[in-house]
Amino acid sequence: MTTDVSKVQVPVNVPGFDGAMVAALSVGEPALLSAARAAALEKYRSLPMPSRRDEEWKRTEPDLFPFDRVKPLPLLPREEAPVDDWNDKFDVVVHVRSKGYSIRDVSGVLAAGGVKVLSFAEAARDMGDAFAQYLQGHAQRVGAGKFDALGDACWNVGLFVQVPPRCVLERGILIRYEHDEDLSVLVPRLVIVVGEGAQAAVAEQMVSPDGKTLMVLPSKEIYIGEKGNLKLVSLQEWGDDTYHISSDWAVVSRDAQLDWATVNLGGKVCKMVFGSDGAGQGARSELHGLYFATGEQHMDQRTLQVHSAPDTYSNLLYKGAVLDRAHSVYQGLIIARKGAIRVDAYQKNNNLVLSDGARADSLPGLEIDADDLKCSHGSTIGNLDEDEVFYLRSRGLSDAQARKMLITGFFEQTLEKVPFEFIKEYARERIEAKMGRLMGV
Amino acid sequence: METSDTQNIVSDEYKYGFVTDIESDTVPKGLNEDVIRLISHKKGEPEWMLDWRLKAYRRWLKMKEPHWAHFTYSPIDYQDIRYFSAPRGAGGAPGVVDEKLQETFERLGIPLHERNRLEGVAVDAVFDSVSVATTHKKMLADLGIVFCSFSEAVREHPDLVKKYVGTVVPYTDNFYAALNSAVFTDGSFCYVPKGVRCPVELSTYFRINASETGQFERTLIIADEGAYVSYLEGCTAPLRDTNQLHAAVVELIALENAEIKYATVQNWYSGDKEGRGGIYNFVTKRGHCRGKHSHISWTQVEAGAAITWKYPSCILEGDYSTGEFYSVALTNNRMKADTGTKMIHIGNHTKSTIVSKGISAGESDNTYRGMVQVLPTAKGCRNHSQCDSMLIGDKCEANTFPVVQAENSTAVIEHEATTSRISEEQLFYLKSRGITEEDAVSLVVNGFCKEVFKHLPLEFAVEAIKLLEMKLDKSIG
Amino acid sequence: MTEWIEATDVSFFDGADRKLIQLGGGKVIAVFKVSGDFFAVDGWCSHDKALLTDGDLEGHEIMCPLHGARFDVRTGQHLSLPAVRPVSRYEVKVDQGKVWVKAGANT
Repeated sequence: MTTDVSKVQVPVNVPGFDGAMVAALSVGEPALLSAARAAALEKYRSLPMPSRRDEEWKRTEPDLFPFDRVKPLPLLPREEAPVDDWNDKFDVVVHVRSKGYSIRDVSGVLAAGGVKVLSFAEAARDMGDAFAQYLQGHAQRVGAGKFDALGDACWNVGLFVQVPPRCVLERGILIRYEHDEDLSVLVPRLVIVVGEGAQAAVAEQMVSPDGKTLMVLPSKEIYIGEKGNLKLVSLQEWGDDTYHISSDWAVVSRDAQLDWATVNLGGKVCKMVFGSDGAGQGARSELHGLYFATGEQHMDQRTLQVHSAPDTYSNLLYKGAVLDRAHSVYQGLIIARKGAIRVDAYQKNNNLVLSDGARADSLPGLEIDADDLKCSHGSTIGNLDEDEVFYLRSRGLSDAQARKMLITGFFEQTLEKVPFEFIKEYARERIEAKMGRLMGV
Repeated sequence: METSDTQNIVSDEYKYGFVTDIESDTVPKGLNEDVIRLISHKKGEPEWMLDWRLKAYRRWLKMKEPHWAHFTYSPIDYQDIRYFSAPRGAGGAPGVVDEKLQETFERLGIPLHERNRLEGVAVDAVFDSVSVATTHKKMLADLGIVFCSFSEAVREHPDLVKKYVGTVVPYTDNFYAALNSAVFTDGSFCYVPKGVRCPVELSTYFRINASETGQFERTLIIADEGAYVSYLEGCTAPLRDTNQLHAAVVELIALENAEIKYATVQNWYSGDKEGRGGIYNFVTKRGHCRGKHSHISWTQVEAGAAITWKYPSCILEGDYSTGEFYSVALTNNRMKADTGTKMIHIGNHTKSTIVSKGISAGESDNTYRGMVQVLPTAKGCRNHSQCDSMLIGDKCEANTFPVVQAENSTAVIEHEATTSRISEEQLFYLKSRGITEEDAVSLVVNGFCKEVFKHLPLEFAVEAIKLLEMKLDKSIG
Repeated sequence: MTEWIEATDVSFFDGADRKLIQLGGGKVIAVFKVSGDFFAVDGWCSHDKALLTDGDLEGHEIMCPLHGARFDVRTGQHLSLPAVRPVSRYEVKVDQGKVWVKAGANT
């Protein structure tokens, strides 16, 4: 019998996401945007649905996502901004919820002109064709697939953040995604542009309630201009039945710097791609990741350190732990393209497997097409050092306390890189809470 | 620095490219059940062997050729290959070897006559598809060690072969294993009985001579409880401008407390500078550490072939068993290599070590692909991997794609990889000490590879170093 | 989830020796009929996740179509490389003309 073993009742296209839906989303939009959606839809249709036989989806099977049960959301309207406990810590707070989005100009930087936070429609009207460059979509980039194209066609909220050249944002911008409409899919798109010589810090937070089946396809593109500097933290703490597929890209220009920390704590099944491209000579990217999967969580992260220009630098450290029956996957690739000489690229992945039944997969990778470079990667998988546990216990700590302390210590290296002190502290508390289960180990 | 200077140093003078003018007993080209029956008949095989071949062939017909490696190659026409070619005069009276054949092997530096024997090495020579001679057989037989061609083993020791063949690499395993199981013509067989330590290195030398033939050898080595054997495989083929397929299968089985060391120095013809011709080296090699405290190590120096596609692996089933993989893969001109290993930890306290060194030059493509897997029931396992790549010149490619999958909380796994080019500083330092560019490159490369070379038997370490140097020597113009 | 799930009518097996049941979320169970008895194991091969119901069934041995790993359908035990671990086994019963599978794994 020669049946195609890859097709086990996986839909060819995601139900509900079709031409009619795209048409509905395009109503009233500037032509630039609807044209981009149409192109993306065509690309989406031309790509096959991923299957477990595809290398990229082997460890996170498409069947895990409840496509057949969730419905898309319409274009989100702007609404009144809710008051936020982190409000006064930022210059601008953006809130994206299932029913609408809001932009609160806390410190007045938007009113003063210069810094812009606009919806895609506003930005397209504002900039005209000049906005087109930001709709290239990561569908063009390395490893993009069907869901990137889907998101580019069916986004229901698009946000454009621009920090003008030489501007130094004092407090930074917060973007909070709060999704709570049961059995629906939120598709936010974000573009961040940091002008030449500008400096900014941006925080993203993703939250949703436990017990509701939710799906989110958030993706963002970041462009850092010459000598620009961006510090970014992406804090993901979705509820226990939320499904996430995303693909994020940063393009770092000449002599610019990117510091990006990702913290992944929530969700039921998350498949994420984080890529940075050292596209201009002297570009530098520091990528730090922390993930902690517990219960039945499944976290799959793929990072891409692309070097397209000479004298570029990237340094990546992703640290994760798995507990109970959770499963984490880390795939990393350093790609040095032809002509990218004198590249310095490092990639390290450390994993703690804290209980039997938990699983960590690590796939570091190097794809080198250039000469004259220094690249290395490393990966470790193991449990806590029993000698260290013993030492702490001999100092009077209980077994659980000792282990918690060591796990916290393990994550500190990444937490240190999180911009915004209070978010660092908040992340520590959330990790502490997740470790509550350690009592039973 | 001008990269063309370093590039000139890395050249390829294939001195094994000669063809032996000899009469061969060949079957017509093409593959079908009749060809398989003919091969089996010529070898005087029992019914069960033919049966196995036919099952494998019928399975192969249903399989699809894999294309997931990190390279492309011109399609292989399986009907355009001659699946059997025995040199006339081979398989005659034992101890008597055809003159021409002897000449060939002497030219290759392989001693066939016992009076010329290389001290401490027993050699089995395979010319095209047939084993033509095996040295030291009596001495080994006295110890109860069976070392002979695979065909002879099928005839003289059928029970042993039947018990173990296909248990480590079943014919269903992959496309080339299925093909090999159907049409294998010869190879080596070795069985070392309980508690016996094989006193000499065992070695097989494979030579593809006839044109348009493929070489499908089958090797099976069994080390019974407490046994030890060290084995070396060497290979060459003449210069031809079309590709020839080499799809071998090697199965190693180590029972309790046994140890098998398997080393390969491969210098198949790798095609000309334009990438024409050369051997397609698609091989399945796997070792099964079946017993507690058993040990299998793979050491390979891959310096030839147009394409090398192989992953010598270890299944670590017995508790406390260990697997090792040491590899140097050199690619130059238009060569391609996609090689690596799989270490599967099933038993408790199993350990694996991987050291892989890739050297790419010219316009070649060199990829390491590996997998370390620890099953949930495997307690206390350890792995350490080091995969380094060195690039020479700016037109080659080096990739590293390891996969680590840990499902047990007591496993400790460490993997490191680096990619670099021969550094300017190193070369400058050596040149300023009066060493020529070529020697300097050689020195740096040898330093890069020494961790692997130290696992080769001494005589072969010397040969391997010479081989690398030859591959990197400036061509005398 | 340990309740009994209806797999199919017994009569289905008049013309077939196997049936694949899909439980959603990627979980599948393979039911086999050998010499009048029914057996159920995980539908995915434990080696590289191909569907066991696409393989050759010889006596109580099912061979995965992808790399030929063999399993005993009575116990789920792996019988050959490249499989290195067993597949889960499920209880089967025949009741009122239908075949039922208990979807909480026994291993």
